[in-house]
This record gives sequence, structure tokens and C-alpha cells, in this order.
Amino acid sequence: MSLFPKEISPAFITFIVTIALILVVCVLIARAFKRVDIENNNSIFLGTVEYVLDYVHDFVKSFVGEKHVNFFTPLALTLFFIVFIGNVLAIFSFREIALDLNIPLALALMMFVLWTGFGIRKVGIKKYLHEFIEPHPLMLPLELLGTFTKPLAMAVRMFGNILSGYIILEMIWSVQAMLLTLNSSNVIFNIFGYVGGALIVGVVGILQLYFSIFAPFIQAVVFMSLTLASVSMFTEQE
Amino acid sequence: MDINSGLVAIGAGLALGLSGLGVGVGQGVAVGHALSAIGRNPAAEGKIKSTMFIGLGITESAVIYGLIIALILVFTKM
Repeated sequence: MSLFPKEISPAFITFIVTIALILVVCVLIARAFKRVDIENNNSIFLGTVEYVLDYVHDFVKSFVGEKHVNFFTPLALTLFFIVFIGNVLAIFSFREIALDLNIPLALALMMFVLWTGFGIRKVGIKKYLHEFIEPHPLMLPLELLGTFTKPLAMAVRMFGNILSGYIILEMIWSVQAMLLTLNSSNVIFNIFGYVGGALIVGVVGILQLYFSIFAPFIQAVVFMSLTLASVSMFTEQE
Repeated sequence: MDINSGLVAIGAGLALGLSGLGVGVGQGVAVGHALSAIGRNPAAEGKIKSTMFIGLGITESAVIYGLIIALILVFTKM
């Protein structure tokens, strides 16, 4: 077994592109904020960025509380933008990152390590382990199962959602391609096929908007808020 | 084409159909309650809507598991 895989999955290339894109945009935004006067700037773009940061800050605060909000806001933003942009780049004919189960699984496992480590640091290893036999030791298998299926469920949820949209769109586009390349002896039949194929484009446009912009957005929000909800289990106990 | 692939098709259909049934009922109840909450307190519409969408995303995972099982059955066992 070698360290490097023999072939690179297309989803991984999208992942690299996503990270590079986020890095470049973040550096540009940071430099722009240094140049302008923050109190009274009238740039629409920077105003939007400020509004989004404020919104996410409040959102994170509603989960983890005042004390840890500054630690978890960058994390939440990173998760959100990696999942969202990585899946939205499919519009530019990249492969969605969620279509390779390894990538959501890796993200979910990282978050699992994060919230477990945070919890152990927060409540102490003794109390953390004691949680597993809290009402009764008989609950131990169930609690263990619940602990370890959480990241798996997060990964599979993202994978399945994006995969189902991808399959539906591919099916409709293949029907359209079939209609546009009709080649029967009946000319009227052919013309009906061409018109139908052209009309489908308009209908699929709306579906494409839903499956490649709205669904990734929802998945990104859900991924982010599930991580924050898992973290908030430990911050509520203090 | 033997009887096994027919059974696999029935299994895949059941997996997706039953999970879709449950999730359809669940999401309908959730959206109905969210709408009545908005009707009672229109000022809180934004908050209710965002919470509803997160809830719908989480509820939807049940049918997604069914879909994945159906896909695995159809594409690998048939």
C-alpha cells in the first residue's frame, strides 16, 4: 500500500480548488478590510461580508454560548463554505465533493475528533466516560452506538442528498439528449422529439437551480449546525 | 434473469417506499406546524423558517438512508 493513490478522484480535485478559492477570497477580503475605514465604508461587498459574519456569529452564539463563540465561528464558517462551494462548483462542471464518500466522511471524522476532544477537555475524562453509563450501565451499548454513528450519519446524509440530486438530473438530461438525437423514419415524430427536448431545458433549469444551489446550501447549514449542536452538548453543562 | 433479481427489486422498492412514506408524513407535519406558528406570530417568520429548514434537512436523512440502500441493492446485487 502506497501513501499516494494511483488515481486522483475528480471530487478531490474539486476539494483542492475549493480550498484554493476560499483561501484567495479570504486573503483578498482581509486586505480590503485593512485598506478601508470600517466604521463608514460604503462598499456593498464589504457590507455583505460584514453582515454574513455577524449573522453566523449570532447563529453560533445561539448554540455554544457567549464564552466559546469566538473559537467556533471561524470553524463554522470554514465548514459551511467548504461544503457549500465544493458542491456548488458542480455548476462549472466540477464533480461535487460529496459524491466521493471519503470527503464527507473525512470532514465528519475531523469534527468527531474535535467535539470529543473539546468535551473531554471541558468536562474531564472521568465525567465524559461516566456519561455512557449515566442512567444505567445497560445503556452502554446504545450510548456507544449513538456516539459512533453520529459522524457516519452526518457523512452519509450529505453524500446521499447530493447523490440523489445528481442522479435525478443525470436521468433528465439523458432523456433530453435522447430526444434531441431522435433519428426515426417518421419526420413528424422527430420534430416532436426536438421540440420536447428543447422544452425540457426550461423545466430542468428550475430543478438544476434547486439541486445544485439550494440543496448544497441546506446540506452546508445542516452539517454546520449538527457539529455545533454536538459541541453544545458539552458547553451546556458548565 | 432469475427470481433473485426480482426479489432484490422488491427489496429496493420497499426500502425507498417505506422510508419515503414515513418521511413524507413527518415533513408534512413539521411544515404544517411551522406554518401555523408563522400564522400565530408573523414577526418570528425568519427564525421559524430557518429552524424548519434545518429540521427538514435532518428528517430527510431517513429517506436518504433508504435511497442509498435501494441504490446499493439495485447497482450491486441485481
